[in-house]
Amino acid sequence: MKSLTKIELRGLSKSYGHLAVLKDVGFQLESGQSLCLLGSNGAGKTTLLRVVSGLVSADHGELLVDGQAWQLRSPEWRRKCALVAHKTFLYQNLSGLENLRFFSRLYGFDFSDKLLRGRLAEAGLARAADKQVRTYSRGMQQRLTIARAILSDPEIVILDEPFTGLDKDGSAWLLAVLFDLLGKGAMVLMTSHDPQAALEVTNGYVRLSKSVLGDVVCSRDRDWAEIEALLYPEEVPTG
Amino acid sequence: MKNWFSTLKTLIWKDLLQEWRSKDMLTAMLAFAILSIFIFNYAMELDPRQRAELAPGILWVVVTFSGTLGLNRSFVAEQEQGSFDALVMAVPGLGSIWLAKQVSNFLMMLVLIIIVLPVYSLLYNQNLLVPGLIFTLMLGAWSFSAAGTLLASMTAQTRMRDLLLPVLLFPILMPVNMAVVKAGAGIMTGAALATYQVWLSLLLVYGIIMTTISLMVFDYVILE
Repeated sequence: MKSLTKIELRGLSKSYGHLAVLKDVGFQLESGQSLCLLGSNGAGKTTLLRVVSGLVSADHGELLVDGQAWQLRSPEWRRKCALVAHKTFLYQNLSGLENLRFFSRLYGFDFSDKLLRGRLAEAGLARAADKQVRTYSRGMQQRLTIARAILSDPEIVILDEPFTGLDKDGSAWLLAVLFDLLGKGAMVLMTSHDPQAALEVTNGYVRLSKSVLGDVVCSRDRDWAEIEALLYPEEVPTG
Repeated sequence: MKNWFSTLKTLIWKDLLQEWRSKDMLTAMLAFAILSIFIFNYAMELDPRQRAELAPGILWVVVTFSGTLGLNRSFVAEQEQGSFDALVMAVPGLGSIWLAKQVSNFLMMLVLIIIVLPVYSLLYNQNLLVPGLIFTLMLGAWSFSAAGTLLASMTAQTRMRDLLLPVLLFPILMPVNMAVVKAGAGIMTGAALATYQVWLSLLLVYGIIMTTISLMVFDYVILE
C-alpha cells in the first residue's frame, strides 16, 4: 500500500502575464481515487497538471498531504508523482530497454534487465525492447511513456490525454494498469478527450472552465449521459 | 551522497551514449573547427616566431566557436521530447543534471581539442602537442563548459537560442579567453612560468567559481 492517504490542493492560481489560467482552483484526492479533468482546448488543464506535478510554480495556493503542508516545488513531492504528458519524455536514440533502465536508475531502483523486459512485455513492447525509440510508432511510444511513468511505483499518477495514440489493446492495457495502481492505493488525476474511455477507472469528473474548477461529479452508478448533463448543464436541451 | 554520484554517473552515461549514436554535437563542432583551421592557414602567412605567439589564440578562437555550436546542440535531446521535465521529476537534486551536462560538454571539448591539435600541428608545421598548452586548454575548456552549460540551459527554451547563447556567453568568457591566450603564448614562446602563472591561476579560480555558482543557481534557473 502507498504511504499517502489524502492530498488536498487549495486556492491554486496561475497567470501568464495578464492572462489568468487558473483562478482559486482546488480539489482533493484520497488513496485509491481517480479524478478526470475536463475542459475545452486552452482551458488550463495541462497547466493545472504541470502545477500539480511541481514543474510549474503556482502564483498562490497550497498543498496539504495528509493534513500537513507540503511544497509543490519540492523534490520530495515531485518524486512521488508520475507524469504522462503530451510529449513522451523519451530519449529517441536510446532503446526502449535503455530508456527504462536509465529512468529506473534515476529513481534509485536497480531493476534487472529481466524485470525491465517484463515491464516492456506487459506493455506489448517485448519485440521492440532493443530497438531505438525513434523507430517506434506513436502508439508504441505512448505505451513506453506509460511504462516509464509507472516504473517508480508512484503515489500520484498524473496523465494528460493518456489514451492518445493507443489502439484498442493499448487502451485496455492502460485501463488495467490504472486499475492495478488504484488497487495499490495510488491517486490518479487525468485529462482525456475521450472521457467515456476513463469511465471505468474514474471516481469523478470535474470541469475546468474560464480558469475556474467546477464541482466534482461523482461517476459511481451513473452512466455517461447523466454525468455529461451534470457537467454541462448549459448544454442540456430545455422544454 | 552515494545516490547523488550514482545519479550523476547515470546522467553522464546517457549523454555520452546519446551523442555516440546521434553525433549531434561532435559533427557540428569538428566540421566547423577543421574548416576554420584551414581558413586561418590560408589567410595568414606567419614566420615561426609569430606562429608560436599566435597559435594559442587561433586555436582558442576555433575551440570556443566550435564549442558554442556544440553547446547549442547539448540540450537537443532534452528538448526533442520534453525529457527535461522527466529528469526534473526524477532526480533528488537538480544540480546533478547541470553537472552531468557540464561534464559531458567538457568531454566533448576534450575530444575536439584532441582532434584539432594534431590537425593544426600538421597544417602549420608546428608542434602543438605540448603538455603545458594541453593543460591550459583543458582548464579553459572546463571554464568554458561551466559557464556555457548554465547559459545553454537558459537559452535552450528560447526561439533565438542560436543567437542568444554567444551574445550572452562571450562577454562572460572574456577573462577565460585572455587567460588561455596569454598563458598559451607564454608556454609556446618558452617564457618563464612566473610570467604567465597568474593567467593559469585565473583560469583555475574562474573554473571553480563558475562551477560553484552554476551548482547553486541551477535549481532556480530551471524552475523559475
